[in-house]
Order: sequence, then C-alpha cells, then structure tokens
Amino acid sequence: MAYYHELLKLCAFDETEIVSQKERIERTFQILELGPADMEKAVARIQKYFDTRLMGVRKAIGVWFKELFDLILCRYEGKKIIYYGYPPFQYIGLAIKAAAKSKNDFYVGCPEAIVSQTLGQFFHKLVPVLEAGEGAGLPPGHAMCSLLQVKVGALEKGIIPIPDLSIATSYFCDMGPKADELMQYKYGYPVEYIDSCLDSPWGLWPEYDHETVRYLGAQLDKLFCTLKNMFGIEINDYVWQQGRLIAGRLYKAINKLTRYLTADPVPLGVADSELILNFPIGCTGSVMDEGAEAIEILADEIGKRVQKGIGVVSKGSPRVLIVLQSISDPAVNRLIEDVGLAVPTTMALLPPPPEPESYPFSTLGEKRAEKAMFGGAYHSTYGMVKRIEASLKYAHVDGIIYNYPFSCRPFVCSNKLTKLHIEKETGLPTLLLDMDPQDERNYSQGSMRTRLEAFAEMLKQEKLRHKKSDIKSL
Amino acid sequence: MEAINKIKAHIMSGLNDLIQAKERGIKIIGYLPGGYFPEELAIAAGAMPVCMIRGGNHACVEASIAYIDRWLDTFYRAQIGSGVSGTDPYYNIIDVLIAPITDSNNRALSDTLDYHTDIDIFPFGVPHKKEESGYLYYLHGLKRVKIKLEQLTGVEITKERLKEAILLCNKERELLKKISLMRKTETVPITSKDFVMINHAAMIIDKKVLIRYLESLIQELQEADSVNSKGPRLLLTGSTLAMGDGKILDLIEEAGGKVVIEEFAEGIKFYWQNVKTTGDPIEALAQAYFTDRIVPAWFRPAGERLNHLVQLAKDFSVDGVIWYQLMYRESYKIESYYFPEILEKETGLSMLTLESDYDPSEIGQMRTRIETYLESIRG
Ligand code: SF4
Repeated sequence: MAYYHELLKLCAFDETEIVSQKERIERTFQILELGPADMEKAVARIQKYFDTRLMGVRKAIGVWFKELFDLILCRYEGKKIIYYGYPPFQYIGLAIKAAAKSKNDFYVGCPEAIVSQTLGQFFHKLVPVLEAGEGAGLPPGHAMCSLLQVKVGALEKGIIPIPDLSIATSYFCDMGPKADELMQYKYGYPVEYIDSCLDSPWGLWPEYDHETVRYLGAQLDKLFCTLKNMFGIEINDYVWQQGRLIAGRLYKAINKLTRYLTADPVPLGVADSELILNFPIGCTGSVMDEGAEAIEILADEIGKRVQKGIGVVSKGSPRVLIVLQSISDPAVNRLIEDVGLAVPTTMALLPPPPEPESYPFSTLGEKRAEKAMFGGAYHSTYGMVKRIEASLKYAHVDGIIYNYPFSCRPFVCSNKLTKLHIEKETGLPTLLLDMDPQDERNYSQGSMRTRLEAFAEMLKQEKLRHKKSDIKSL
Repeated sequence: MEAINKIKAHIMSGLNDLIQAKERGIKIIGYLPGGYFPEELAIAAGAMPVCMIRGGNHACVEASIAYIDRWLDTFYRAQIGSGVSGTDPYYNIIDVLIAPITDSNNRALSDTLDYHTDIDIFPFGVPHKKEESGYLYYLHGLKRVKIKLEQLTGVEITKERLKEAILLCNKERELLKKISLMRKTETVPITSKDFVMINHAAMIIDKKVLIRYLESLIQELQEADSVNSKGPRLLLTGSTLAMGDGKILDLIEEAGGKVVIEEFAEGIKFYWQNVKTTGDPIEALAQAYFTDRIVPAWFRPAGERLNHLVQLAKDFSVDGVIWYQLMYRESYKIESYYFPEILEKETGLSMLTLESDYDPSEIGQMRTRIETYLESIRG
C-alpha cells in the first residue's frame, strides 16, 4: 500500500481516486519533500486535533489536499497561473474562472493560504517555508506578515510555481503589494496592484465619497483590461454573475452550517470550523463542488448533534465571537474550547448588515468597488469597526476575543480603537489577543491559555451574576 | 554662520510665533509629513502651515503604548504618544490637522487622534500608483482640502492667491536646491546637520522670513571653506528623518563621515522641482506634488525612488550609502533588502542599513556599525 494511503483514506479519498491520482499525489509529495514519516505525523495530528468522527470534517480536509495538489502541479499541468493576495477582492478569482473557455485553463488562488493550511495544519512543516521567506526579504523581528513569508518562502523554495500574473491587495494592506514588488524584482512576474485609499474620516461609514469608489473602480476596470490583454478573457457583468454562481453551492452550504453553529451547546469545535473559513477565500478549484459537498455533509451531521443537544462545550457556556482562527496550528484553535468558551461564530462568518441603496455607477469595477465600501474593511477603520458592531446584533455572544495577527498592519493600526469602540457601543467585554495564524514561533500557548482562562473566568462570573439577578427579579 | 544661527533661533521661537499669530486670528494648519500636503493651499488661505515633524523622543513612543500596538512605525507611534497625551504644544495649537493618508502607519495616527482627541482631523487619500485615475483622486483630495481651508479661515482661495503662494514656495524650493547642489563639489560648504535643519525650518517657519535667511546663507556659503573635507562622502536615505532625531547625523559626523545628500520622503522637503505657474494652479499642485515628485517606498511599485537614489549617489559622487529607517516601516524594510544589489550593480557602492526605535540604548551599537562601515569604505 502506498505510504500516503492511510492519510488519504482518513481524509475521505476513495480507493479509485487514490489509484487514479497516484502520479499527481506522489509528484506533489515529492516536491514538498514529504515522506512516510510525515504521513504518519499528519495522520496523528488530524486524529488528535480534528473531529474525524464527522465525515464532513474528513472530506473537508481531503479537499484541502486536492487544492494543494492542484496548486503544486498547476505549472506542470499547463495551466495559466494567477495568484491573488489575501484578503482577495471577493469573486475576482471565480470571475476569471467563469470567463475562461475551459475550467482547466487557469489555476487561480491564494497559494499562501493553501500552503499554510496544509503544510502547517496537517503536516506541521511550515517553519522551513517561513524561514525561507525570512531569508528572502521578510526578515524575522520586524513584524513582517507571516502569511507573506509563507508565500515568499514557498516561491523561494520552488514548491509553488512562479505565476503568470499576481493580483496584489493594494486596497487594504501595504505589506502585501510590497512583498509582490519584491517577488517581481526576484522572479520578474507581472503584478497588477489594485489600489485604493482607506481615507474616509472617522464617522463616515456607511456613507462614502463617490470618488473613492471611482478610484477603486478604475483600478478594477484596469485589471479587467490586463486580463483581456494577457489572457484574452473578458470580465463583464454577466461573467461576474457566473463567477458568483460557481460559489453559490458553497456559500449555501456554509450558511446552513453557520446557522447550526449558533446553537447552544455549540456543536462544532473551532479547529473544525476553521477548515471551511478559507475555502471561499483561498481557493477557486475543488472547494467549489467537493468542498461544498463536504460542508453539506458536515451540516447534516451537525444538525443531528443540535437535535440531540450534543456540543463541544457544555450548554450555557459563555459564548464568544473570535476574529479568526489559526490557519496552521489546530492546537491553538482548540485552546478556546479548552478553557470552556463556546465559539458560535467568527468575524468572517458574521452576516453582512443590510446595505444602503446603491448609487448608479456605470462600470463593473465601480459597482464592485461600491460593494466593497459597504463591507467596511475597504472603507476605513471606522467602517470596519461599525461593520462588526452592526453584525454583532445577530451573533448573540457574551464577549469577544479579538485575536488578531500581530504582524498584520491593518489589524494592528485599529485593534485598540476597535476594542474601545465595541465595548462602548455594545457593552461586550473584549479581549485583545495578539497571535500569529501562520507562525507558531511567535506565541506561547502557555501564556495564551493563561489570558484566555482569565477572560473565560470573568465571562463565567458575569453569566452567573446575570443568572442570579434574573432569579431575583422573578 | 550668521544665517544658520538666525534660522536656528527662529526655529526655537517658532512656537511663540504661532501663538502670536493665533492671537491675531490667523489659523494654524497642522499637517503630516511626507510631502503630500501643498503648503501653498494654507498660505493662500491666509493661514500658517506647520508640519508635525518633531520626533526622536523615546518617551513619546512609550506614551503611545496605551493607544496603539508597538508593531507600527516608530515616528507615528511617537506622534500618537505626544498628540494624545496633550504634551506636544504644537498639537494643542493647531486648528486642523491635514492628514494625507499614505499607508497604514499614518492612517493609525489619523484615526487614533480622531478618536482620542478633539483635534479636527482632515484625512485625504494619496493613491499608491502614478496613473491617471490616481492623479484624479489626488486632485479631488486637494479640492476637498481647499474647501476645508476656506471654511476654516473664511478666505476664498482664489487662483491669484494660490499662484502667489506657489511663487513663494517655488522660491523657497529653488533656494534649498541651490544650497543642496553646492554639496556636489569636493568642497562641501554646509554640513548635513545644518542642511537638514534648514529643510526642517522650511516646514515650520514663516516662508518670507526663511527666504530672506536662505538668501543670506547662500552668500555666506559662497565664501565659506569646506566643512570636514576628508571624510567619506555619503548619501543618507530612509523612511523618516524627524526634527529632534539628530543622533544618526551626529554619529556619522563623529565617525568622520560626511553626508552630502539626503533623501527622505518624511523629513526632507522635496525641493528638486518647482510647481508650474501656468494653467490651473490646483491642477499644477496635483501635478507637482503627486505626479512629478519622486515617490516614497510605499508606492506600488516604487522603483522610481530607487533609480533616483542611484542617480543621487552618482551625481553627488558618494562613497557609500546609509539607509536609516524606523522600526516596523514595512515598505522601507522590504526595499532595504533588495536595493543593495541594485546599488552595487549600478554604482559599485555598498550600503549600511540602520534601524531605530528612538531608543537611546541603540546608540552604542549604531556607532560601532557606522564606524565599521566607514572603515570599510576607507579601505
Ligand atoms: S499584512 Fe495582513 S492584510 Fe496584509 S497580506 Fe498580511 S495578513 Fe493580509
């Protein structure tokens, strides 16, 4: 039996797939220098940190492997390669896919998310990639984004191919486009910087300056021109809708699952729900059908747990919103439940607040840019904070763990204001917890646990106090 | 030099001048450094522009901890510390703070001051790409600033007033350029410390007064001997060279180096080109301040700046380059990784990279590194 057989079986691959994909699987693992010992380690990690009793979880992990194979092999398989930065402009990758003549013409994705998710989460082998990134221009000790270190390191080590085009998230972050510039210098690939200005004053959101939308819109329209010139693909309103439709099944499944997650007791752990977070953000391939299927299965399984009142923490536990999960370290994701807190939702899963009426912008770029403004994060710090505040109405939580990547400047420049504002406006106690979703060398689980325990204790006392006062008022 | 002493004295009394001007009803327009706020707009509105360019104080960095994480650029953390704590008299005197938003670091300052203080903050975005759409957005921002200043001062910024202000600022730029170019020759009549000081003065003191002093200074320099003619000639570049952050220049001087040209988007006013005096003046400002100027490192891409550095190194016949940047300024940090290769290829020169968090404990190590670098240049 092949050395990876047990691992892939655990991840819900069927026998025929393992056989028919043999060449691809072995080539990928060879490029990544993953051998039998790594497979054993991955099996042990997956069994330890993920709820493998759930077929949906196993399938979701399997989909990550498929995305990994697609990424690593895309150059050998003759695809045109487009990377986009993180966070991506929603639906851009899918619109490219929809515009292509054939599904297999392009590889489009966010490689750093896929590499972190798989090499980190499952194989625990991200550090050499991070080190390669550190040595290639994003040095340690300077709060350089570890997600970008993964991207740069993976290119440097030659485990991911050099793309034909990179779409940089210049509308949100400074480090992402600068890292692309560095890579452009090193490898000579073209970069399209989608630029914008987060210059709206405090207090403006959801209003916005039309010119800000026009600028971002012009940038998007320029990207569409580049795509046409470079690859002959046309992105228009129709294609954009087709792109959205590709993700329709996936989003529907995610919505179904997230509704179950709000039950008390919360039926699924943070490490497991993390598996779905980056599906729509990081990938445009297998996740769209097989990922959707995995989540549908998971939602059914979780639905049954909800009916039976089964949860990962006891009923009535304090409920917290978290910002994000680690995309490389499932152990740290489990800490929150370990201290007795339930996580019914994350920031990415919060439903968007109702949108104000649209302005009749004329180009596709402008229309998409306006949507982004409503989303808050591309508007301003205030927009992001208000967006969270508005969505919190639907979250029914007792507190917030604002766990942010310490090396992500857009977070760092706003986290303390966010805490102050949210606590003032919603009364929800908020714990600022700096972490690193890609680099476990940058935090200590011990000190994180201590801080989480203290916060959990405070929330439990608070709950108890409310309970007592409810009894008195009866 | 008499003119130098006068400018220094004027800087010292600058705050009093502002207080007196304010008492006379003149509005004080604070602005963030980086060279994206045309002072001409404030002058044309009959107001006094003053750049928030003071830095170098570690106590201010420490004071910022309550309001912002440490993983942001040192200069902006220091500004947050001094601005929010109310200890900086300049923040207390300004009527508005014009904040050209360039990257996350100065956005953090703008937002934090807006949230924690009563300072009237006016952010406007600077695009990160030199394209037509970027130019138009910047122009839109300038028009918004113009309206804001008109509302604040009650003075209409007419084309005539703006043109007059442009002529005044052009004069200042020309004089700065003339003085700077005097350092191209082997005999260097002015130290970098003095040049940086007069450049900082151009961001905080009255232009008419400064122009008078600069004119006298040029006459004095034409007759002056060379200063420290023996040391290696250096180009000093980096992210921010704040007023009060003088240790880098002191250390270089003490080690026998001679900075003959500086390039900092924040801290050295751009003086290489004038604003056109024909056509629509606000468009001329946008053209000069956005399109014509050399970009900072946070542009995407910013190769133009690196080419400019290579050109400066050649034009000023330098023997080495010192890259002095502040902690956590990511764009500069990334460039400092790959620029040495370009520099080496184009000029054969090496580069020393230094970083500061305005912490006095850095000085010993910095001194050693500078001495070693200069030794290596001397061969
Ligand atoms: S710094 Fe933050 S926004 Fe920028 S690439 Fe890294 S994670 Fe994304």
